[in-house]
Amino acid sequence: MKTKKQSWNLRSGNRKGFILSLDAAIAVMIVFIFIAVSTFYIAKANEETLSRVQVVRAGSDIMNVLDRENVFETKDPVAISREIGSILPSMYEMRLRINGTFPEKTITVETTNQTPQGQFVVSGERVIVLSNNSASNYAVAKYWMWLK
Amino acid sequence: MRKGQIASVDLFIAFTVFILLVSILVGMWNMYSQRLNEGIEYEKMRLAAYHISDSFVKTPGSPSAWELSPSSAEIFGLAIDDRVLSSAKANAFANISYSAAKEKLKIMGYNYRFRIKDLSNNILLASGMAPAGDISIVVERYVTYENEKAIMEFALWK
Repeated sequence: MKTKKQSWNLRSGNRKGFILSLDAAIAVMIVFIFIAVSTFYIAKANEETLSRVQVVRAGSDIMNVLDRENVFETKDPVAISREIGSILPSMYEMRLRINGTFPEKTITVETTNQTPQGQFVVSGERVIVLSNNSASNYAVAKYWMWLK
Repeated sequence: MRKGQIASVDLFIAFTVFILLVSILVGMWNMYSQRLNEGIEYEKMRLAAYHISDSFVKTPGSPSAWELSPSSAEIFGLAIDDRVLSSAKANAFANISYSAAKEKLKIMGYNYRFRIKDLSNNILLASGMAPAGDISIVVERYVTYENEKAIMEFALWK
């Protein structure tokens, strides 16, 4: 009996039990934090996949349609912006820059808003041919698209 | 006597906490399994929807003049040029039977709806069934149809 009593009153006394409880509480807390964080990221990853792929496809499609309708040949930012506005769905924003060596000079056409910071932005490039009566010129149209 | 009682209460509390934790973990495990399965199904449907929409807007299909004999079509494609749709091909696809179209598109386990809309969302052509299931993937592609800008929409659902 004496031996047993001694084992309950070790050098650290009641503090040992307290430390073990604290250890268990911290372990449980870490497990729950891990589960909560992983649930959050899994849910977030599933949500964004489709909308991101949709932006990639929409950007490519819109550039193709604009090129086919010879919109870029105007080289006029206002006209290009108007045409983009006519096809761009309301939930998207788009920015476009055309660089090319034309007979006059190297020009850059920029339309719409600045690219946002801290947000998923799709970008792509399309090589285009700008023709007029006398010659054809090559240019690169670079675009950025993002969700509003 | 008191020490024995304390040990029992301690055991009871420990056992309750243990059961509670195991229940939560089992619940979490089931939730993750369900989410994973839903995620896999969702990804499969997303890939199928994008492959079909790509095939529609970028290829003429196989054989290239399949619209003359829709039953002979091996692969459906509605394009006469990159993202320019042929109204003959689009009409032929819209008029083909629903089950035959699903079989050729290899989406027997799912349902679909195909639509072509103008930019004001007026429906120019439609076939298939409106989405009514738990999971639906709606893909919109921007195309030229009958010399006008248009939207081709393909919805896959189950």
